Amino acid sequence: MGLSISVSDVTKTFQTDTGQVTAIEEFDFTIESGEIITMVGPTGCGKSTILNIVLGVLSPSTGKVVVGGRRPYEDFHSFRGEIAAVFQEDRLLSWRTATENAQLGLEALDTTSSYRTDQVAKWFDMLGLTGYEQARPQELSGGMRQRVGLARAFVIDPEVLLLDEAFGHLDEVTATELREDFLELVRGGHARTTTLFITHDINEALLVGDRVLVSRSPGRLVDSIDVPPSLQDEPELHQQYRERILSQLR
Amino acid sequence: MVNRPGTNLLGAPGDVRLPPVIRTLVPIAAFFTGLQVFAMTTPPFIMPSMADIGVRYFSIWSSDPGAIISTFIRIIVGLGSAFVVGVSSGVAMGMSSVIRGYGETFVKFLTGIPGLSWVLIAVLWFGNVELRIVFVLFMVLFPWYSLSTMDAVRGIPRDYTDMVKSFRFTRREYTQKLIVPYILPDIVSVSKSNIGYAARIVVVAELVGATSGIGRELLVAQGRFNIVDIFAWTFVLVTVMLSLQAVLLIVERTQLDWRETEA
Repeated sequence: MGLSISVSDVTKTFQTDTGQVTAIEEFDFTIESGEIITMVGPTGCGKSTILNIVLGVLSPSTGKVVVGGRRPYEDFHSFRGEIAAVFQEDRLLSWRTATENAQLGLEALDTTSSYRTDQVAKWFDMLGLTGYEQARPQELSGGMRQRVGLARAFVIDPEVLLLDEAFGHLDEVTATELREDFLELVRGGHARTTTLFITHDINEALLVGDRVLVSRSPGRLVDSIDVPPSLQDEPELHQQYRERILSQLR
Repeated sequence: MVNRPGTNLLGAPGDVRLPPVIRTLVPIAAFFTGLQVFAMTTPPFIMPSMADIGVRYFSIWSSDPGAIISTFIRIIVGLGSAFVVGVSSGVAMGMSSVIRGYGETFVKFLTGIPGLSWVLIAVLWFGNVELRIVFVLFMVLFPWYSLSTMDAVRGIPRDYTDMVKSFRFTRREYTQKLIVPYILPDIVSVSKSNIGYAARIVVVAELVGATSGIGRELLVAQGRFNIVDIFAWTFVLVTVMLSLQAVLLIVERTQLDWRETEA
């Protein structure tokens, strides 16, 4: 069902040549087990930073992040097989085929070759990648590459799924297709995990999330908005929520 | 070759190009033709004919294989030891700023020492000729492996490292799944250069005290003023070097074929 995520008073500063830069300041939020949370905000408001902290590849400067009772940076290896990320750039390895890229996470777990092949085949089928198993990333379109990136994340059956503007660089049509497939997977019971979905697109945030966290520059969380399930069917209500988020970002 | 105005000589649409094998052989043929023309205008003790050199070149392979084998083995051992130590140290320096802090400047310092200096030092340090020659090859070649590997490791994009790290691999798995395949093209590239260096350095090392090898044969030929042998043995060395390059080509074609599909 997914691990819960607790971010308590997290600040992250970076040392640069010109001095200290604060990427995020006093971020404080909780994601319950199985929730799908979106975080929306402009470029440079710390969304990717907080994602990398929850992922465990960055440590907070102050504050605490707890995922399922453990700390992702300090207890890094204990999260093997439990956290997966999908990035804006697909980050596929050029020397691996689509299948080999997708099964990368499974290689970190105690799995057999046949299990990995079967799992990848299953997710490729669900993501419309059948027939592209032996293709190199260079031979795939941007949308197909991102589908492989999604497969790579889903195939390990993670407890926590982190997406960092996963559809942000795709064209409108491809992004819409991929978003629909993604929602079908996470809401349709194929992969219900705790999900943090980062986006700069307000409409996408309202479409994907059970709740929307609003972040504004310079790296401050300013609102947390519960999204009614019927929002997409009520244009006027949708517009009100949109205006509320926009007003927070101005 | 057809060259339309305003188009690039290399590969523009409409150009009629010679097959790759022919394109490879044309400059080499031109080189030997130039030497032959030179031979026709100078005394044979200055520049012998290509025919004389050719006869001697082919006879060497059947009459003096021992010298060729000695040089070949020395190159392999020297190159191999430089590769192992150089790539290992390069990976270590690339992954650790602490190790890099201690090692990088020292390795760069070593690149400034000429091969000839190492030959002279080795003559005084080592009584054993084989050890001496391999030592010289190692000291000349390993810094280049080390620095190229270090740069390649440091050049791995942060996107890749974060993505692979996020799966929580062990350090060994991380090295095997990301670092080794990523740096392999750079290692092949530096190996191509190092094979050439090795061929040139081994001959210099063999000139001093070796009782076998192509370098020794060149020294003997020079002592006898036998310019045919000098050219023939030189071309034998080039052939040895090209055969090693051919091995690298096979590695490239089998292990790095994914590069051909990159834009």
